[in-house]
Amino acid sequence: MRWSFTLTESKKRLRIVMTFVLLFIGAILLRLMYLQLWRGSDFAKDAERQLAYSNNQGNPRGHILDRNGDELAVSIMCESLYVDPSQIFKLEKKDAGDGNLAQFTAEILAPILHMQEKDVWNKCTQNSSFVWIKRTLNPDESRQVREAIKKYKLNGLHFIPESKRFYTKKRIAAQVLGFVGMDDRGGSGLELSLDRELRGAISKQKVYYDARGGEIISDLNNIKDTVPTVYLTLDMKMQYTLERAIDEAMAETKAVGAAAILMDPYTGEILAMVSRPTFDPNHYEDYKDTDWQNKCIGYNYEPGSVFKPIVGSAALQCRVVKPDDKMMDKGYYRDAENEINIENWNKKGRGEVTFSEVIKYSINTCMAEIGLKLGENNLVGFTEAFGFGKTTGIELDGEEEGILHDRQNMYKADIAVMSLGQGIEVTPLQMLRAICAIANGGDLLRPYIVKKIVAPNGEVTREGKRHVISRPISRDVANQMRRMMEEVVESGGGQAAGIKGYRIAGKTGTAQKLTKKGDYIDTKHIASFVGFVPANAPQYAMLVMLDEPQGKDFYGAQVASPVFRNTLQQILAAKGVQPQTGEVLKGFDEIGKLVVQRKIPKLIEEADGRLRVPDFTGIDMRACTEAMQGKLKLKPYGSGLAYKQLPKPNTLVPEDELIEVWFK
Amino acid sequence: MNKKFFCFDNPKNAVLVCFGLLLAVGCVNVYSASFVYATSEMDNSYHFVARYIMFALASIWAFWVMRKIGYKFFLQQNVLLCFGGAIFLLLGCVLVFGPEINAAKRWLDFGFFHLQPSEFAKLFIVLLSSSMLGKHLLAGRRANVFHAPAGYCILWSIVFAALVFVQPDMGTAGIIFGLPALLCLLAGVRRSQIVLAGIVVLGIAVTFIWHASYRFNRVLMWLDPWQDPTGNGYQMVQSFIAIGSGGYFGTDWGAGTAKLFFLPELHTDFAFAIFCQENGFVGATLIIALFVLLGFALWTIAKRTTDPTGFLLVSGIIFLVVGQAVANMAMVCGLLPIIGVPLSFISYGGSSMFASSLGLGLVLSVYDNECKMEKEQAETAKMEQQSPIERRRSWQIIKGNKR
Repeated sequence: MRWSFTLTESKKRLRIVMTFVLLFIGAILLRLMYLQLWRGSDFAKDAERQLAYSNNQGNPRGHILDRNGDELAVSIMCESLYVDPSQIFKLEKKDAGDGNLAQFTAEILAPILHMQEKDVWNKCTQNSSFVWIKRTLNPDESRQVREAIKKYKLNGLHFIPESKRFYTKKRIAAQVLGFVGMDDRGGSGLELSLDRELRGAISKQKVYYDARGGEIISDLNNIKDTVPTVYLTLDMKMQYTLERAIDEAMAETKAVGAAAILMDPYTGEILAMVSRPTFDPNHYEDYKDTDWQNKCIGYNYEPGSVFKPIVGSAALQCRVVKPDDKMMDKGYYRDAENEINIENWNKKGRGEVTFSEVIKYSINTCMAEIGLKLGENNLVGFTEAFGFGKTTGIELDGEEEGILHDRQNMYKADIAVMSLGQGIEVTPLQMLRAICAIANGGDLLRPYIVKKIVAPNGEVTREGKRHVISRPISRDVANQMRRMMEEVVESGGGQAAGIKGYRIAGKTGTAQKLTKKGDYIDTKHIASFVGFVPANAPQYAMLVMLDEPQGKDFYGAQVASPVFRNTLQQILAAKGVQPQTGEVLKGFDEIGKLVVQRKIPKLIEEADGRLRVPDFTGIDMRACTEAMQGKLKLKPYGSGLAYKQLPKPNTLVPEDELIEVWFK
Repeated sequence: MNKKFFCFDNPKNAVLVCFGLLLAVGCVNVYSASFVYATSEMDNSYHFVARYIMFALASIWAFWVMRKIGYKFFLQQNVLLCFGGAIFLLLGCVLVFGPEINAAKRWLDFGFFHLQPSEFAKLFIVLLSSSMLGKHLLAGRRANVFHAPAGYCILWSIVFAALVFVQPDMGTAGIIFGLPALLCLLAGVRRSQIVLAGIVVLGIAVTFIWHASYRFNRVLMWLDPWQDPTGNGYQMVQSFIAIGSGGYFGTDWGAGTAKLFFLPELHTDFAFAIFCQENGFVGATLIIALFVLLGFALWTIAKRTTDPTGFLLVSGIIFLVVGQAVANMAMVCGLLPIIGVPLSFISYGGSSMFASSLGLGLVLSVYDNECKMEKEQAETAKMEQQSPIERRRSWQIIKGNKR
């Protein structure tokens, strides 16, 4: 049998071999289990890691819109350029110490970035591995830099996406919005007070590359909407109207500053807020920091006669006087013992007057008398109850508290002067709010400017609501005072504020300013007007304050009242508030007609197939796309009418070229 | 022979089903593995899959032709001589005219396609060995590597293996040498000789590996690819990452990341890696199960074969088709060093697929032949029990049937 071998034996041998094969297959299965099941998640991470590079991606800041959704502040993602000088240094060393690489880089970058060559060179030679060259480049600059890097094989230059803020309405409501400094930090206004809400969250951005370094997906340009939207209570049309009226008044009176607030007396919503001097938050660094200040909330001034309704209301509430009580106006009020010397503005006495007439004609002597009757406790107490002496709690940064007397240390003279609205300091917003309490029947409200904040997912995370802080006066007292204030405009000192057909309540004020020494000076005044309309059912309350109006006309009735009238005239018409005695007024529609659209420009196709880029200036986005006839691609920034474009008009471009157009 | 196999009526059906399924899976996998590369290099994402489908159709046709011709035709000495000579010539041509791809000459450029003669050499060596050893086994004699015919088998295989080895293609050369060796083992080589052969082969392998630094590196990298994951261990590490990241159920369809130029040779030798990535452990298990099923079906055919030549031929083709697939999977998941062995039917490669299909065709012709013989034997046995008249009648029936 040694030399024989049968098929059966052969088949047995095959079985042994096949068993080995099967065992080997078992080993493969075990190996796969180890690789895929046991270590699967590790390897999945490895696979992801070698494919994706994640950057910390700053998201753009939240948008700020007005109550109707008109954009006030928007952010777009820009690129910031930084240099890693150590990389340049390393290469220079390799190139046998040529030392010209930084110089070369500077020579190329300086003209693109409109910077000094020396500055760029300095940055490229610092002993660091991270130096900003320029922050938030515009798209054109970053494109050119990228091209230059590729063309000249520049090293050590890197981009980081950063959010850049655009204030589409430029100077409009500048102090309310504030500005954003570097590193996406709010610098003033709402940008500062809502910084936490507005700041774009840092999110991981992933870029996928294949093994050859080819980019597969980059989501830089399609960042999901991760930013909140802040809706303000401001109404841009009202704001615009008020801004223009203030500008006109400033030009006319050559005042050094101004503040104006339009407020809904029932809810406390701020509808418009203007402060002068002003600035363009897009270029905030070009202005003085005092221009950034919002005078409406951050400026303490002596209110003067506009404060009289407050004192009057206190007196009515304390039953010190009644509207029809008779008083004697001699033209002066002197009390030598207490060093009181009060005169009327024209130094004339009106004889016997009622309390209503005291308010109506703003009679100083009688007010001082009433103030003294009230006493320091009631006077200061009511002043405080009307919200003076502490911040209003509006969502804006930089609010002042105003300055009140310490009631324990008040002389009689202080009481008399305070009754006239002098000797104390208030902010315009405090003043208007107190008047609103009279207008709405006695509710002291917390003013607010943030209507709502909407999270990216559509959820409303915060909503501004009417909030009553206290009720300093009763409804009856408020009604009485309202009636008196209506008479001021009807037939008293504030007739310049009258709008034909409407019942308006108001009060003028002209306060002397203090010198630095603390003396009143005759040449510097603050003229103001505060009022609301319609007087019987107030919808709008407004305060206008002009700081140091120059020239003969410096009285509140002369300079501030017209601003009130001009603005509210337009607003009432536009908002459809029916006049009590028929008369139709100019509204926003006519103002809107001033913006005339240009004809749609023609797209000319050259013989070689290239296209001549037309001039898009002055047309809106829709007309732009129409003009492009689908042959060019539009990349719009902002909204409104085009004012800038890239490439420039009459440039020859191939079909499907991307045209960037800026609108405002 | 014609008995049930698992849920199939007979092992032939199982082979046909496996063959079809493997081609279908291969088609999908080749497309998924290659479309990124093909888009980038050929500007046509369907470049490889279109060719794969053409090769598959040609392979099915060849499979059918083989089955019709029958294995006995190819076992004739002069036919074998013809084929052997042709393959010898082609292998020579490869060394002279073959274009150099990846520092190796393995293909002959026919313009339309690249022919890889070494794949056919594998099949030929199986045919040659089973022919020679089969006659020996039929005579009831034990094979002896120092005597004809086993000795000749080994000698011839060394000649072919050497021609392939200088391409260089160590993996294929090893298979060309290994297939007849395994068949000799089945044909009854003594244990002492097996041990001796093992020692000799190991010695030769170690010498070869020691003398070529790239082979030595491959072995080192096989043992620990993580020591140089971006250099020599790159392919192995990428293969692990691809397989491992598949997890239980794999990535989305076509979403395997290895194809993004991370893993080279993805649609050919490393096709299993991307398959594992995209289909997960479940998919991998199914593909292995498919090969196991094919193996068992072929094994069943082998077991039921009474012709020793046919038996050895079927066994050789099991090693060629299934054994090679197992070796490939082991290599891709790091159980074996990286040797250029394709995954039968799944890897892109016309020559390999064609040769494997020819092999399966031969197996089925062995099956057909056995069925025929069984039937005839049954008839004869039946007739012997019958009366002369009945026998005569049944002859007529048979003749009538034949007509």
